Amino acid sequence: MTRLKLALGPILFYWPRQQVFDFYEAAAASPVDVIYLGEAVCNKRHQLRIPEWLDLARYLADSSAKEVVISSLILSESSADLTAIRKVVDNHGLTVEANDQGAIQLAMERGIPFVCGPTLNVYNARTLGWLAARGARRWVMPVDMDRQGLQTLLQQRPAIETEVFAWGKLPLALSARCFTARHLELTKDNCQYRCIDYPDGLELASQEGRELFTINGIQTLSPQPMNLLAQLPEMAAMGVDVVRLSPAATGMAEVLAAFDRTRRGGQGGEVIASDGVNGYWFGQPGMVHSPPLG
Amino acid sequence: MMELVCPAGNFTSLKAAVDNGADAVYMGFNDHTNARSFSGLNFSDKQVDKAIDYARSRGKRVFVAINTYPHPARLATWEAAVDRAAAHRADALILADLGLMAYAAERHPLLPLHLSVQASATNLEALRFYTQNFGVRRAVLPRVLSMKQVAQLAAAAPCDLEVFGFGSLCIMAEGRCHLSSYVTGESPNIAGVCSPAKAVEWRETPQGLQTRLNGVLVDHYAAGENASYPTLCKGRFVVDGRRSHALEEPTSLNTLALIPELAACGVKAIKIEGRQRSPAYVAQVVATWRSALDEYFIHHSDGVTLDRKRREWDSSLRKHAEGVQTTLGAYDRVWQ
Amino acid sequence: MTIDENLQLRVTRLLGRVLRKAPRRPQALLASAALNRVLGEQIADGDMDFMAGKALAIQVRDLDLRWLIRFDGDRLRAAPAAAASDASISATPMEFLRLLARAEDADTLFFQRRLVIEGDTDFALNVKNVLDAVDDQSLPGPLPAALTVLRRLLRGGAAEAGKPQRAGKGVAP
Repeated sequence: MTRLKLALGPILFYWPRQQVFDFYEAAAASPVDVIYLGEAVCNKRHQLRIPEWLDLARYLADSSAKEVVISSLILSESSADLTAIRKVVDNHGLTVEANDQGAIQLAMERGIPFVCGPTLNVYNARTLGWLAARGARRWVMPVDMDRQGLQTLLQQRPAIETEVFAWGKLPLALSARCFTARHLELTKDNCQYRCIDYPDGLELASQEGRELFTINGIQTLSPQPMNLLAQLPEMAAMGVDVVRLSPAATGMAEVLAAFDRTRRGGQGGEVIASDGVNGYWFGQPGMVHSPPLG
Repeated sequence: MMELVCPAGNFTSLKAAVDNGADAVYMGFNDHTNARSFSGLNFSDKQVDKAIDYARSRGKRVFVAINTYPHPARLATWEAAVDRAAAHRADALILADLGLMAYAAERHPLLPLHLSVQASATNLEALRFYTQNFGVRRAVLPRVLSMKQVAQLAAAAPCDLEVFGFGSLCIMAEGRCHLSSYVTGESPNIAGVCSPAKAVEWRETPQGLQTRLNGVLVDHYAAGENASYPTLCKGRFVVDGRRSHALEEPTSLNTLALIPELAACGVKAIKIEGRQRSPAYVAQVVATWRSALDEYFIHHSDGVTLDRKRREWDSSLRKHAEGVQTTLGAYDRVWQ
Repeated sequence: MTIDENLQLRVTRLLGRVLRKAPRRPQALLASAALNRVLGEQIADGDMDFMAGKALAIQVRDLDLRWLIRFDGDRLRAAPAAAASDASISATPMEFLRLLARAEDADTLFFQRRLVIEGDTDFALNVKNVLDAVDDQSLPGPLPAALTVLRRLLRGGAAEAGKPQRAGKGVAP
């Protein structure tokens, strides 16, 4: 099971510049194998501009033994957004995590290898095969796919690496509207970048107090992390190559350590919470906490 | 002129659409291969033939939506649906899954392909991806672009564009929204439903009408307050102690006011949402939009006449809306 | 009182008088026969099978009428009953008439709180979808023409009555 690789997904929240640098410095020294970075959620965010993300990526690639991948914007609306995607793809040397078909088109045209991000909706072998034949070297499973579906797909022996989201708040949706701005009674065009005040997003609950979602600018996520630590052996046996851990503002070192211990065959669960919103893996609604009995 | 593309959840709605001025109708089979897979809705093979005959004999086109993503173990069902639609001689297929597009383009090269809103293509390069690789002729745009962004895209798009003009409003990028499956286990992508009825509970209480989705309280409506579909995006929630429609209020999309701009920028077709609605909705909405499009394109009415008539049209459309109010949604920058 | 409210009151009074005078059992037989006639094709196609083992309640407000509809695999049976149902649909007589005449869309009435659904939502939705699919032009005798007239008559009233009582603008109750 030590062949199972650990990946840090791109930071989905908006953090101050120094926090980002500190985070990646720690990541470079951690047991993680793959580092994804870049601004995938909102093109307005500017603590790091694209050239700086690319510099950081190249620096990490050169100075650590990690595989570094630069992530493109998931939802693009304006021509500025498309320009941002072009800049990310035209990075001369780094693999790209393509998060929409525009990025795939650009990567294919330039003959650049790419990773299929989870929002590309690769749900079956034919779609996967098509992309694999045209430059995809890894695909990330959509967060709502269940283990049965994954097993069926893997039985057909895809030619490329498979990555599965295994820890972190689940990205669930994106909108043109900025919900953080809406909550603060601002418009998106005049948002004052206030999402930086919420490094783990803003909590949204039902009127009965049930935690329901996390608001992160234009993105909506689960209220708590998904946590498939206990499913690592099953994943490895199935043929999963990489597990993605999505960065949170605190506690990532412990999460990484637990996943690293588990993939090496040790026990990893005591230091971090053992449950999570794991329903999807078991074919249940995503919000279901523990695996069902039996 | 822009083509008026109208929903048909069953044969009676298709007739209502065709008889009231639709230029084309879109439909799905009565299984999970399309994104409005509700019990008792949609067409069997027998009904598809009847429907296509009715439409075609009146010079109207029929598009078949096979726009969910096939689950790994059930690819054959989706491929069979593509074959069936081709056998029925549909005027176009509306697809979202890339693999299915490859299948359709290879097996039925003469069958026009339209890109479903579920494919979530929002920029020029994404459109080029689909036109170059699969010969897609038309793309339905997700409801996340402002009017200006639609115009920019239309100016350079490698294929025709179809935009939503009226109906229930998705506020998340379509095809990439997991809110429903997070709470109920089903969402448009695979199951072909958002907020499936079997997870919905409407409960009249002394405090008002409560709506729950798989037990989660989405909202409660006071007496006299208008209701909407129990989708999570339109619920009332608590953020940082404040109770509000944190995502969106119950509302429907109405872009009647944008007809001149949409036409000017070269949009080819207007799509009316509502395969789950009754023939009465289809008849009234289609008739109104037909009048509006004819008034603008055929009679070339002036601004004053259009404004006056638009008030009547808007009022007639508004009563069908969720929450009985309408919005321009993301087309209007301020909404974002 | 508006034209629509006036019409509503008169229809309700008339229906009330008629129903109070007519004995119950023949009413039930007539209603069942009518249902089976109108939904004959759907029954043959298996479209009513989802109702097997379940009961749908139709509640007509103002007249205090409650009917249960069941399906035994071959025939639909309707009868006045107080027994529990799996789902219930409630509205005033006028709203039911509007629905039958296709002068109004069920979801529209639902959003306006003029149609109330309770119980098994999927069951009620299935009923709605099956009924929507009935081609009223293929109904027997004078029904298609009568429904067309009724639709024109009621549609005007519906637009007037359809104004929201309150716009529901995101203010917590």
